Amino acid sequence: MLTSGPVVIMQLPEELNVTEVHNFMQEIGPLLESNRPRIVLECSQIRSMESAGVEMLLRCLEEVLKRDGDLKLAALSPQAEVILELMRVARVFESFPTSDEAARSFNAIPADAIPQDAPWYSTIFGDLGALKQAS
Amino acid sequence: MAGAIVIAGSDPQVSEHHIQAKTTSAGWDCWRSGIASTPALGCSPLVRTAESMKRAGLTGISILGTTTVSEKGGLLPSEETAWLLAAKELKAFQEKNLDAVVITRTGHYIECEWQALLEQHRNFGQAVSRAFDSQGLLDLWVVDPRRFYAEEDLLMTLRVTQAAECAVKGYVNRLTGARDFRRLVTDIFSFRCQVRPQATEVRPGLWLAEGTQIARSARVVAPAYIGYGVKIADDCLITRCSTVETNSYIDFGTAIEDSSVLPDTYVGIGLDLSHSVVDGGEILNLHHEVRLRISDPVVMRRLSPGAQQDRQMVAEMKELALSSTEKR
Repeated sequence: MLTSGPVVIMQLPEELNVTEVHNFMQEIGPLLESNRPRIVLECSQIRSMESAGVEMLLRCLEEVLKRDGDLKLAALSPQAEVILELMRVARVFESFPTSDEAARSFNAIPADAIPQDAPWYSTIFGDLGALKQAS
Repeated sequence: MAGAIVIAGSDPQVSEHHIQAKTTSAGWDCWRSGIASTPALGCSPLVRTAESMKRAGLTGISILGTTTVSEKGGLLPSEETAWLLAAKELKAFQEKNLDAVVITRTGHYIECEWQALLEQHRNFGQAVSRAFDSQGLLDLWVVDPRRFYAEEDLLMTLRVTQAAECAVKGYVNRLTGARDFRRLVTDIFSFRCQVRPQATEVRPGLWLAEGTQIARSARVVAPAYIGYGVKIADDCLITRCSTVETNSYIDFGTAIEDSSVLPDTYVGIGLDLSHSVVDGGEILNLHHEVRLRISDPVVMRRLSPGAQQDRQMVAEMKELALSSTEKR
């Protein structure tokens, strides 16, 4: 398991069948129960996914949303994309080309949005502005 | 008098590069033991080719290849075996004193005026003529069995023999993969080729075969084809040049768009199938260019053993070959 600050990046197994789903749920379970979990699931290894796998993704999303967190998908393999589209859940998840981009997306303001020559306090006001907008 | 030998080739590249054939045998293009034998709007390109030859008055049509039945009732897997059999068949035509034999491999689908092609060949006066189109040479030859003879490797002999070149002006689809297969389907719907769906056009662009059961709340939007014995459950949507072939079942609420569902396939509840070709538990998605096996039977599965389909096709072709032989 890789962690990048408060965002946790986890890699999904090659096959998301009932057995693998069970194993993965045991691994991710404690994380889902934490306060405001921020999770990125890296999907580049996925070669096949059963309906149990899709159900697991939806369950994880439901749990993190309940706790005011978020779950994002990254580096979707073509197989994973086909399955998610087929099961009409592709649009439910926010997905990114890489896990780094997915992890960065948790920040309200992207780093490159703040000019480099801006004064030190501009970042604070920027964050406050973003929070205001979010609220 | 003219005869014909049709080789049910699995891929146009197979015999051109024998080594490649081994590496690509499990790949994208060699799927379902040859696209030419896959039904498109009720009938496979292979059978359509044989039928058009029959209509053109070719007196003996031999269909050889991946669908040839062995003595034990199994299917002969190798295309090389088919070419060996073709060499023997050519010899038989020679004994029957036929002046021309059309030899084609239905790795690609060609629509041409067979009699015009034969006439062109006769006018050239050479032992072998080979067809070509705007994109190059085709695996379609006309040979004079009295002057042309191949001991074993008929394909190689055909390729190295100096041949007159005949232009094919009709529709040609090389059927090199699922994308070409879908192109054939859309070309049939838009009348770009002579093929017509094996069904009744109940509304413009909407073709329904006999024995279909479409639920009241299901929507089938033209252009679309629903094959024999197909069941479409409530709230389904079939649209944008989609085809559902014989005995398939589309379950509740599923949308099928720009896709082909091959025979005896179950497509589960509430799915969104687009830009794909589905055969039993296998999906070929053209948008993502990926082939996927669905192991979950509630999502997709084959409704009856695949061999049944092949056996049915073999029977169809046997019948076709027999009826054309009777004419000799």
